[in-house]
Amino acid sequence: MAKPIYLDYMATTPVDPRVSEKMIACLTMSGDFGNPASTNHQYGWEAKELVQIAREQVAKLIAADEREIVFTSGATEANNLALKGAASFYHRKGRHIVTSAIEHKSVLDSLQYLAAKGYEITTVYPNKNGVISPLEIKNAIRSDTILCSIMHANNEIGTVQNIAEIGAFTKEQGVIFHVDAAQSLGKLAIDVTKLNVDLMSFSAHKLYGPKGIGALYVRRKPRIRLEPLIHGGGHEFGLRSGTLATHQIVGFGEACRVAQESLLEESNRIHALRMMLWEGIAPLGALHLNGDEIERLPGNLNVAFEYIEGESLMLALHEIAVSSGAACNSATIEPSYVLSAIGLSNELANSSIRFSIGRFTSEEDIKRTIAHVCHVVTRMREISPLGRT
Amino acid sequence: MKYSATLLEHFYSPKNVGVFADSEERVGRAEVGSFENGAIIQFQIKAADDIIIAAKFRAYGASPIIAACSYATMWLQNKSLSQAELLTNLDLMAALDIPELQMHCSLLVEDAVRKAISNLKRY
Repeated sequence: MAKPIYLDYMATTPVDPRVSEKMIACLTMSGDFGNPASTNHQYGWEAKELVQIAREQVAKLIAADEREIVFTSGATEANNLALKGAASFYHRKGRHIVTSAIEHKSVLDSLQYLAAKGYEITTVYPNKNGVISPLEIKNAIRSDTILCSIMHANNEIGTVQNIAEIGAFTKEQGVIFHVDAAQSLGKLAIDVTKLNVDLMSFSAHKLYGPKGIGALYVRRKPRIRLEPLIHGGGHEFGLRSGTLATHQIVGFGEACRVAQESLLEESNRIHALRMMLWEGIAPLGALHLNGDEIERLPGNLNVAFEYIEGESLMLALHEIAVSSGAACNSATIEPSYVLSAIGLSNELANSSIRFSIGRFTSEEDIKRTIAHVCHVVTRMREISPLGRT
Repeated sequence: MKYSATLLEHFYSPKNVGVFADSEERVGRAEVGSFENGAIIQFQIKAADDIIIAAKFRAYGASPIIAACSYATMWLQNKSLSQAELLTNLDLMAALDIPELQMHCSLLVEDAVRKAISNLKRY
């Protein structure tokens, strides 16, 4: 049986062939397998050179200096390092942190951990489209606020926040601004100075790089200090010890280089496909678009389908690979906290599907998806007692 | 969630979806569940004398509910009312291999069938 059409690019992306080619060359005896920290021989020097190139490639994509890139195991670790690292370092300056209700779990759980350690967290809620008001952030900042963490683009509903404006407010108040950009790197143009950010988290596997590698951007001017989470050797400017995974880093760098090259064209193409998908299913009626229509990642479409229960909808949509608005891992289906935060009822949240389009999605894929979704939704609504006049 | 082939068959091709016309006689009708609880079943049974000749359903709910309703409409055919009353959620769980975690689905279907039979007895 053919595999379903992959429309879950925001969950993860396949590695681009150009990336895997570069990575494979770093693995075996005939490749660049050396430890980049081995300063005494050619194997080390060559690996170090490759890491340097990759570091520059990542930095270039965000208009940063390559010394501002700290490689981590992913965005989760980068978020942990940014939040716990900054909070620990600046704890004498203050213990108040501002964030939003729709952050990724790695941010929310890290902040929960800090709250248990005595930090105070203020959570700002989005409007019904998932937009966080910069003014509300400004008003939440106090004299003892040391850190503000707001994601660039939300992983469920794709809403893009006005980071530059929020950053302007945090800057004038002397508050460190951390942005989780796991979903936006390679999709939206990022300039860390124009966006006024001090710390930014990235994940390679969201932009056709490998899983298990990411980075934290750490501003040098003015210098942001962090207490490291991982000790042992002082790698990455003392901020993240551990032998650098050359193949992973090279893969991440190449993914960034490719993204830089194709960002505008790809965004436009993917946006057009998303519009096509939405226009193809809209005639079904009784649909809700979750998240802002305009301030949205090009490839994200999050839709609630009325009159159909979420678990049965997901099962029925077996020809496509998508994500649901529920965490289906218990007898009671928990709706997504992001959908709840934008005011969606539990039922609608559970009936929500996230489609995310990517580099390898074709027009044919979208046409087949439209046909499948329309067929399934019509069938399920025939079975349902709801929605009948 | 990995479901059995039988369950999936009933889910992807459910039998007897719909309702009997309001005017039709000797039809027991029941509606159970609620939107807030994530499941609603409309279950209807048509009888001739004491024998069930047809059943229909509509359902909003998780896959095991739709599958169990479809299965029940088939199982009930040609059963007497007293035989029909013997159907329990455990029978449904066994027939469709419904996971333990979703036992509540089978309970709602049993409830729907019982209420439909009970409603039929008003004749």
